[in-house]
Amino acid sequence: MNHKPVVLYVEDDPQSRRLMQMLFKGRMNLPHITILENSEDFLGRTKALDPRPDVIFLDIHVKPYNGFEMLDMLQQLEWIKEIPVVALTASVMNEEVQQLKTAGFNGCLAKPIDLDTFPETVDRILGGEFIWSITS
Amino acid sequence: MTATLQSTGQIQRPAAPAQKLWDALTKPVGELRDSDKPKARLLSAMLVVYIPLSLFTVFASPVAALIEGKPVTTLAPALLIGELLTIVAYVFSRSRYYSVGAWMIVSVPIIAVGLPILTTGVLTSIISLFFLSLSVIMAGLLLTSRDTLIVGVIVAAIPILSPQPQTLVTTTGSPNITVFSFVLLTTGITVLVGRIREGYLHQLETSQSELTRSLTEKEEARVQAELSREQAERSDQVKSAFLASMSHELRTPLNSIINFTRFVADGDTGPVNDEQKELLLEVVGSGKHLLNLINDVLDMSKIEAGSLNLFIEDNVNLKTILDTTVATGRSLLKEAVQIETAVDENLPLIRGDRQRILQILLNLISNACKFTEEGEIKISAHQANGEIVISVKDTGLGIAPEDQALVFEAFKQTTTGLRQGGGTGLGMPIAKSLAEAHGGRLWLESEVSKGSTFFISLPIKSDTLIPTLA
Repeated sequence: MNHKPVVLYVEDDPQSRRLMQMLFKGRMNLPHITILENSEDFLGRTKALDPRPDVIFLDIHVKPYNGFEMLDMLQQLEWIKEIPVVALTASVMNEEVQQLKTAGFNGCLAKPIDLDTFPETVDRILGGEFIWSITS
Repeated sequence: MTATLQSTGQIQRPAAPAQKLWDALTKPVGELRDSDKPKARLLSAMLVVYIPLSLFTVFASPVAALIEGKPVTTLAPALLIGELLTIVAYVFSRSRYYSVGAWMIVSVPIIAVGLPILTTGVLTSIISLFFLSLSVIMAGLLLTSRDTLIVGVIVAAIPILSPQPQTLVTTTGSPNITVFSFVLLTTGITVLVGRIREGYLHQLETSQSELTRSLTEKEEARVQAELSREQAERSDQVKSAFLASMSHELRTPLNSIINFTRFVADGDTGPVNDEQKELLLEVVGSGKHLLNLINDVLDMSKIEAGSLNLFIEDNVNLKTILDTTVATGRSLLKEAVQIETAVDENLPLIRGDRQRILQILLNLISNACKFTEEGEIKISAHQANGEIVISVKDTGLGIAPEDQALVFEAFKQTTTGLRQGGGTGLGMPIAKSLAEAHGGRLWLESEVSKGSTFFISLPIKSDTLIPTLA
């Protein structure tokens, strides 16, 4: 990547938000990070993002719209086909990952995340790779 | 449940052509109640036999006369009308209005014999009386009990209503006795025929109700089986949902525990001294151990609940998986240990669950790395008899024969394993179950103080594994 990726992350758990904030900002030095704490008006708020995101991480157990519903909403966006949408979730048993695949996610990263490999994993995702981590 | 209710019908033998023709001519085609079907069929059968015979008797002499060149006598119109009516009765007998046909046939003796008696009062012979009783017999066979009774009354009334009953004297000498005995006979026949038919119908109903009952019992058993299957499925779903929720609920706090501790230990939040860092990294290590334990316990629960589902793909590349696991293994190696690989370059792609195969191999290789203090670990993979056999050979302490079976039992780490500290004691049992779920095997050969070799075989393309649709 020539420029630092613009990241959108939706997460209702405050600790996970803080953790990812420390990782994205403190360790990866990403200048454009949007972290939403719920999925109210998710589509509207995503559309309004400027610059638009290069990668979207969605937690699955989010209210009022869960990860699958948010993914559905994103399909309405013109530019979404070029953007990887990755689940970042603690629900990573085999069946659940299979559901994510079926729903059309471009990958899944398991919580707990691996701090050491996360930046490299994001690069691989941006490079078009589909990553499905079932156990970390 | 895959078994379906089998047809309870009798075994059908191929019918002979004559049987087929007979069935075609006599089997009721109209919509009839089951109890009426035998009556309709009997009527059809009677007429199928009667019509050709009567046609022959009617037309035999004119045809013969025509052939011999003699003058042909004209046929009586009554005969022709009679033939026509019989054919009409046959047509009725095949339809749902078979009872109309039955009435027509039953009426024949009444009209042919009874009508002359009523109008002329002349009874030509006692045979005529018995011919009349034929009406009652046929009614008993072909009509309902009520209709049979009506026919019986009509037939019995004919000689009584005859305008000149005294003419009977000429044949028997005692008119009263004759009429009385005829009425008695007719009534007797009516009752007898009625009883026979009722008995027959009762038998038919009994066998039908038995059939219905056995069908009901089978249906009940099927419904019961279906119910218990659904119940089992539901409890399976509840179990799976519980495990999934457990996993989620435990992983979320572990994310904070492991990673916030890492941030502090790594100095992201300010300087920490060496002792602090060491202790914080102990927390991280314990957190990771707990995470592995959770993963293993959940896997084991699924295996024991029989709800471990593989996500089967075609074209799983074992070479890639081996590269990944060997790389992980190298990071765990003690200084005095080397890893050597001998992987067949032409290893075919196989059908299986990529993630689970990775889990099995990671388990075997990381175990070998953890338990080997010096020497080498040799990983080889080759194809043999439709299977891939992978072996992981180490120069570790080896496993005593009495401990070898324990390696694959849940929560039964060997004394060596326990002393080494790592692991949950579930990795090997899980790996074995996963290999077996693929239709493969996992086994070991070991000699104390020389080392161990773990073998895994996986079928290349097992027919019992069906690719999961993504």
